[in-house]
Amino acid sequence: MTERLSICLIGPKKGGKSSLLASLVDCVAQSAFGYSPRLRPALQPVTESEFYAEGVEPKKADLLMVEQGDYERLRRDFAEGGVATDTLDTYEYRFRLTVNGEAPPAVVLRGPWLLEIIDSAGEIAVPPDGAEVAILNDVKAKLAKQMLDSEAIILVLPLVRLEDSGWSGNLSRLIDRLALAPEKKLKRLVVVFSQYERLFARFGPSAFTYACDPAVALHVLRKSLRAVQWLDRLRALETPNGGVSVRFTVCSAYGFVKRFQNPNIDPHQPGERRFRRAGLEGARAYNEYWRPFLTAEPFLYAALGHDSAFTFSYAQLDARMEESA
Amino acid sequence: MHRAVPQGDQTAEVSLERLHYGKLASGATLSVPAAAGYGVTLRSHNLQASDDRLLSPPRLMALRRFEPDLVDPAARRRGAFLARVSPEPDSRRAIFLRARFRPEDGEDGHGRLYQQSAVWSVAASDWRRHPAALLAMAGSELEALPDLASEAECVRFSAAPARYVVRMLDPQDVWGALEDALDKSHWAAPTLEFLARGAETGEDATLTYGADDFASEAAFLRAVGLALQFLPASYPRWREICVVSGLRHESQGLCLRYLPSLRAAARTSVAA
Repeated sequence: MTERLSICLIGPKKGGKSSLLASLVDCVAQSAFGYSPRLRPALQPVTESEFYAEGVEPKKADLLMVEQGDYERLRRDFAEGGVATDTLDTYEYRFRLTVNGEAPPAVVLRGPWLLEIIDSAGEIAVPPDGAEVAILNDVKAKLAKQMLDSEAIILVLPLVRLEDSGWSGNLSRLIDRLALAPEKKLKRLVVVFSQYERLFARFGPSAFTYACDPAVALHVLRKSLRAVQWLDRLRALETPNGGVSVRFTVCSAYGFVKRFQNPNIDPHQPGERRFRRAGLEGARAYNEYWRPFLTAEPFLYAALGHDSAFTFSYAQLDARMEESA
Repeated sequence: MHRAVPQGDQTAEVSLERLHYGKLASGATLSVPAAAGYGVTLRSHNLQASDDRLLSPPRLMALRRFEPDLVDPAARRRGAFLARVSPEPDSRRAIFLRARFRPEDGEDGHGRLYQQSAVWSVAASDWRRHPAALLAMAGSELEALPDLASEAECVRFSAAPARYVVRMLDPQDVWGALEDALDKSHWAAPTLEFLARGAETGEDATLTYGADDFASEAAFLRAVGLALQFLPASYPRWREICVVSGLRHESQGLCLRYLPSLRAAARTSVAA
């Protein structure tokens, strides 16, 4: 049995939505997630026609084909420093997800999954507070429909002081409207804090060790969410009437450098660039050092409804520190 | 904005409506402030908000999405250029588009890229009458530059249309120049043949020139402008003509294209 799922990526601009998506397949391939290694998920980009075809099988005919689709382009843009997603449309990327290892029967029996992940500019769903952003009405309507039709929403937020951010008012309004929309199909909502590696910039080779501790992530989430106005509004989605599972997690598309374990931002390169092998071009230059961190987490939870060591519920956030210890 | 072409006996005034899409910028390097997001940043007062969709760059380029790798590497700094009749049915306007990707941290920056575009809209009848002058003007003056964050919104959204005075060309002069080009250059004959064949067959086709054919975009636009100026009023596929520079995507209709980094130019390819 194949289950089709739509997942909407939303969040303020420059929050890391497209980077999160661009690093997803590599994160799964490198098992750089907080799930058990025995879960053995596999993720493959598929075309629109493959997504809608009945009884989709793995691409046998395309065994030797080099991937040239929209997702490959997104990965290439990410490797070259990233491109701001425009507001002229919303963009769909499609994948086939399988779980090849051990997982609870309730999860395994539903698969494989066909995922449609919708990316859009941050200005559309979460514009800066007080700014009049001229967005085409049909694009706004398209994204609103996609959000209502989605089984899961991933809310991507940069790891900044949320109370000082310039978009929290609009984010609160969006969550309110979503909670009140009776026609929504939403089952899961994941709040993911991106750019997690930046917290560990001064930790050198110990950075990865600390980042890999779920207790550290839980502490960071508690601290970040302490003064957030929209946290209780989001909780309304999860009430018995809301019927939505809400989870919180962290991630880093740049991740931590393989072998050296420090945050993967090269201070010797202009702009924000990952460490790379000199003399090589494109994605190949980064592969030797790049290991994304937990960018698969929100997507796998959104698709499977299965918790990892780094997905936290309200109950876990609310628990007293000594209890969780 | 009012510019005049100095020479010539008879002149005509052409009015150009303007629309910019991208982000506001500030400072000497025109970097994008953290608060600035995508949007229409300038719209001359005769255009409506409903025109934003019709004049969006991907729609004009017949693309699902405008991407950095669609811009010829040698055209990345100024961006891709396109001139055509607007694609909506029975459109009475022609558009000129310049679109590129520039770094958010300024012109020579290394930051994330974003899309910046500028559109001119003119009456289709003016495009039909003055292709040489309009291509020359657009080629030299249409730039995808961000508007300034310091400039008031009311000013940017009530901008006056640009007005240009163009010289009416004598058909004899056009033919004379084209005759010279037929003798001395290798672009004139293929271009005229391409347009003639396009009228006969009615099929979509693209004629691509490269760096071996023209030293610059300006030279290409000058040549194409001359060829289009020569077309008779009864030419049946005028509305389907598309002049493109620096865009690695074949448009529908009859497309005359220049790719500055192309060396061994593939002359004609017929698209379905």
